[in-house]
Amino acid sequence: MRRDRMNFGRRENLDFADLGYWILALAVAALLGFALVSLHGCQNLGLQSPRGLGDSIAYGYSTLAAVRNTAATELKADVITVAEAQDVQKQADQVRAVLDAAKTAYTAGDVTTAQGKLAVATSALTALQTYLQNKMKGAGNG
Amino acid sequence: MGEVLTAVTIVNALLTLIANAASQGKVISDLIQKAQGENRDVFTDAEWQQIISLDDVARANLEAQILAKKP
Repeated sequence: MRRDRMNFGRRENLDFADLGYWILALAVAALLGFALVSLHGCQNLGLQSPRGLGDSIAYGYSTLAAVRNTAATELKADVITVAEAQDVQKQADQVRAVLDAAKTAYTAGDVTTAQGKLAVATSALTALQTYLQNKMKGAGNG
Repeated sequence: MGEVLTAVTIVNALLTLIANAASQGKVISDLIQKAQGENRDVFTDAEWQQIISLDDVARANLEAQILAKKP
């Protein structure tokens, strides 16, 4: 029944539920597009590629900021709960401490330690991004 | 009608996220270009402060949203 109403060729009437499903489909498509762009990195976003370790650490800070802002936006839209947002904040604080350690090691010339810390931070950031994207996808699937 | 509102809210949130991520990445990208233009391969202390402040602002933003949503 609903499938018939969602078929453009045969549709006889459009109600709010139909419109909602199409907008939700658009939301999920936009989310997947965003995920693809993120995976392909800086160049496809028109951003400067990192020249070395210092630039990568700098992008780590901006990614961390993006994660916190994503959580704030999702909390505002009731996609995540207050407790979940608090958990993201706590984990983000831990990533921040690791990034700070990476920056300290980098500026002190300890490249090996800086690389190790950056790898830990990147892994944690990826996990946080995936968690938040899945939350948004879940909300989109209603 | 409720489904439409939910969908519009989610689309709005997605657009905000994409714009946000792009603008924060652009701050770093601009700093890299500036350093390249000045033949530097490292950031100055002031530039590092600018980079780190991106997260400080985002942290405060999330904390404010948590406080606003707390019952």
